[in-house]
Amino acid sequence: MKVIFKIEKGLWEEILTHLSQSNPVAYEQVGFLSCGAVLSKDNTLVILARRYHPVSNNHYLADSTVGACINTDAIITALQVSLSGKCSMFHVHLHPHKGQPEFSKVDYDSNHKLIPDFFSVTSHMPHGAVVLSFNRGKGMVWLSKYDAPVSINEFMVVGAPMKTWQISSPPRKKSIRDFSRQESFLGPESSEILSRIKVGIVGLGGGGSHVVQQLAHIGVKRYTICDPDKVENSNLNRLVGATVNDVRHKHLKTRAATRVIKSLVSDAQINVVDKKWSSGLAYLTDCSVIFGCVDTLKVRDELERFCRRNLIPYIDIGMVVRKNDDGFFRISGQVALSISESSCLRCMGILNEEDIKEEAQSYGDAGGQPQVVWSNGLLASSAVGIFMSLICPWSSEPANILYEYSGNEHTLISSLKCKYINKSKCPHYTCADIGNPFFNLKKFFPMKKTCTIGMRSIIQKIKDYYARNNRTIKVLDERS
Amino acid sequence: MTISQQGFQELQAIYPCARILKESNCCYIYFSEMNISSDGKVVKVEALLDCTNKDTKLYLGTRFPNKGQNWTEHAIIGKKWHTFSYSGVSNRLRLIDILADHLRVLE
Repeated sequence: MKVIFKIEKGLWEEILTHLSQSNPVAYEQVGFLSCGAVLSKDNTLVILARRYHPVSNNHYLADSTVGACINTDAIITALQVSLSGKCSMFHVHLHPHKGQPEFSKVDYDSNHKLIPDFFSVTSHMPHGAVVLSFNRGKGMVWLSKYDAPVSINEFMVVGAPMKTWQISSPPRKKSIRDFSRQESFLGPESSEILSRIKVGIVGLGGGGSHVVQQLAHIGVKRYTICDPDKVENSNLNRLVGATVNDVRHKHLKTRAATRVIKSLVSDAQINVVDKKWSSGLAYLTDCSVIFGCVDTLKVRDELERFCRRNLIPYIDIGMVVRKNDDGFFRISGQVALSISESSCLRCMGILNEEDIKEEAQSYGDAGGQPQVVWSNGLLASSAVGIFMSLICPWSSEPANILYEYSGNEHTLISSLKCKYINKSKCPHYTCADIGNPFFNLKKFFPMKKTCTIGMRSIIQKIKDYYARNNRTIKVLDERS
Repeated sequence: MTISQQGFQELQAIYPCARILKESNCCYIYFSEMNISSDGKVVKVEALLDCTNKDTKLYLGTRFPNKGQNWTEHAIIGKKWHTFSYSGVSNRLRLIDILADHLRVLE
């Protein structure tokens, strides 16, 4: 099982600020993080940090032998947060340096004493401990009170730009592709990042097919692609990679997209959801970024909610052709980035209840709307550009969150709305929405029988006793 | 729109499993197990009642293809749901009446 730890950039900075401060009693400060969790279809457990709970100054005990010693009140407070919020709790502390931090022997021992207690109040959630440095982190997660913890394999600080690192990454196969022309400015590690992260593309029509093609060109290896539709003759004016043969054989759009990806990235891992995207939620939960290339407002709304809940940056593209009063047409559209702690599609004015309701009354019928390849391509290219500026930034200027397209003037400009909406915190989403409220560890990892666990613990105690007395014991069979 | 405490307690008297969940600006009542009688059989399903909007909506964990019309699929609170086309049940009604009105379609 793989474990990913995700945290919003603002929350990450809040924790570092608190932990960097001096404490009147202890050498260092500590805190707890309340978290949600979700499990993906391929058995990746994603821990989603919600809120930081610093340990109050009067809950520290004077102890010169350790960095920080907290009293029972601090632990009771953390247990109460876990109980009332039905959430995971992670103990957090800082090793004040840059680079990969490691748990010390004291950290390791005290975490083993403290963390299993959280299962007494919230047994259906994982709990754990995280040690941070100024730019990295390391962690361990308990899935039950009795079993040994597992390591967190990957960290992701979600913001613009995103920061992601792997703990003890396996050796990477050398790619047959030569990415030197992009690595030169995206960074030598860009190819490794692009081959590691997973990208979701919902909707593989005019916009989505361009996105898929470009992601494959830049070297993304892991995908979840969703579209229930077959390639139709009327799609060929804009669906990149689709052929007359696909129409003739009634191939699915996911098949055309898979072919495009595999032709550029032969070892790509592709989760195909050839039903409505809502049937593939478990394939999307561990994505690093999701592109929404969909027709309806309702799907946009639900996709954005899903992404916010799972701390996934959501990049939305949309285009429309409208008839003017003079009988001519106007092509317009937008590329929007919806990311935690920043404005959402509602803040940007892309979604509102009236339009969603009006669309629902017409049964969300967006079929037959005019769509053209050059506009789709331009919007998709910009969306991929925003994606790259998040994942492998090449400039100190972050991407804006909303770009408006005029197909008549052939311009894509940063929306004037950005000036106003960037400053205000999104009122539509809160950290309480993060994580899956239906998550239950016991559903995925059934508890082992207590007697077995008790026996293991007894055997360990015996082994420890013999080790202390410089003798060895050989256990032939744990059941014996 | 907030859910009235009294209305929610009435609902909980019948469905003790009822629980309030929020997403974005919407408030839902989640039922981990609801008995729905359809075609003479009683089926246990998960259900989600959206009473934030003026027109309320009942989402179910499974479809009842022989009942209701225009079934659609939705992703709400990280889970897949099905609902049928049925509008006009106002959120001004008592919660218990809202639920009963929606369930009537499945009878």
